[in-house]
Amino acid sequence: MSERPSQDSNQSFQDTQRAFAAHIRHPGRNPAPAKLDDRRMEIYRSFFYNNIESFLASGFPVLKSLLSGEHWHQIVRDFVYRHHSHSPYFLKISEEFLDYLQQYPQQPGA
Amino acid sequence: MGPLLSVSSEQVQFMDVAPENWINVGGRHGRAFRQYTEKFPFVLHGLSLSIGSPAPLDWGLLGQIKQFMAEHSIRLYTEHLSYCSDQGYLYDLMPIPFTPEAVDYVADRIGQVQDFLGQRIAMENVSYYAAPQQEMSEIEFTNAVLKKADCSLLLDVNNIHVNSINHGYNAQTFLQALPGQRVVYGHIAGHYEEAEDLRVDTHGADVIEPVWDLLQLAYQQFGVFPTLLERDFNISPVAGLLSEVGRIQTLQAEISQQLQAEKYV
Repeated sequence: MSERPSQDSNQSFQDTQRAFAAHIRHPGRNPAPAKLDDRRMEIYRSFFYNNIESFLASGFPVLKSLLSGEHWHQIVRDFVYRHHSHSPYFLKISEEFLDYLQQYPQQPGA
Repeated sequence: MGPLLSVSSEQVQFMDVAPENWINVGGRHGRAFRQYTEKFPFVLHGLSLSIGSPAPLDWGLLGQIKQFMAEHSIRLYTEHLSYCSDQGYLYDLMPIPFTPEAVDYVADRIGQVQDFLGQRIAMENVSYYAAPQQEMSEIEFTNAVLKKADCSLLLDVNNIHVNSINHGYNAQTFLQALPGQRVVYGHIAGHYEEAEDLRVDTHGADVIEPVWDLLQLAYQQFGVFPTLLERDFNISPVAGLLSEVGRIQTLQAEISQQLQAEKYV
């Protein structure tokens, strides 16, 4: 994970919000906003990822069973990273995932 | 939902649901839901409003919420003082930076929602684990938003307890600094102890004593308000939940009597 803080002194609060969300989407590519304790950010990282992963696991049990754990998590992470879900409804996360698969049919994470 | 339909409306005074889980639900589940809304008063506790988000408000969602409230005669819409999206939904709650600019932005958006629904909404004080770009305290931020938006407060006493440990402040002082006249509704819940200095608001355990004490203080300070027991998983049998709900009602009755008695002193 990068040590470079993504926030400077005159950053707007919305830039900070975008940086916070970007970090949740892909912690490896986007550093957390400055001065935040990593142990606490881990709560956010795991809450968001596990929540979306569990919706996808229950929506696509066959796909999950066909893939290695590593490959499955690679796809879920890529979905969280790249896809902008437009539905406010939790039950539609599955449809958002199908949209994602159509949009990025190639090797996930590439 | 089956086991709860046998519960009387004396044992459970009201229920709350996330509109995001019930809007557009038809068929058997939709009919079951209708049975509940006819039997118990309901409050909406939303998840996806994303009031603090850099993205525009979701007017499609708000239109559906307005219609849903009319269909089921639901009087109150509550949401989180938080955000859950950037360019897309992320389906969980992120902390709004506590800055004066954010106060103005969030209060303006709450105002837009209230104008659209034609009524006040209640915002909940949320639990948070990190405070990005903090320029003011949580209590300053919260009070400024409530005042500027002229909205109600959904007081979550467990979140005050959790935040007071995670961010090192006094829970009683925080509670007493809130605008009591704006409290329309309360939440109480259990949480998870990740470490001595780190608690996580999971809604997956029984309520602990310090949180009951905070609820009692809130009733004494602000008067009794309707209070919901939140439990999302590790759900105990109905009997166990009802004993915690019963404790809320006992506390409400005690404090009401005390407050009543004080009036005549």
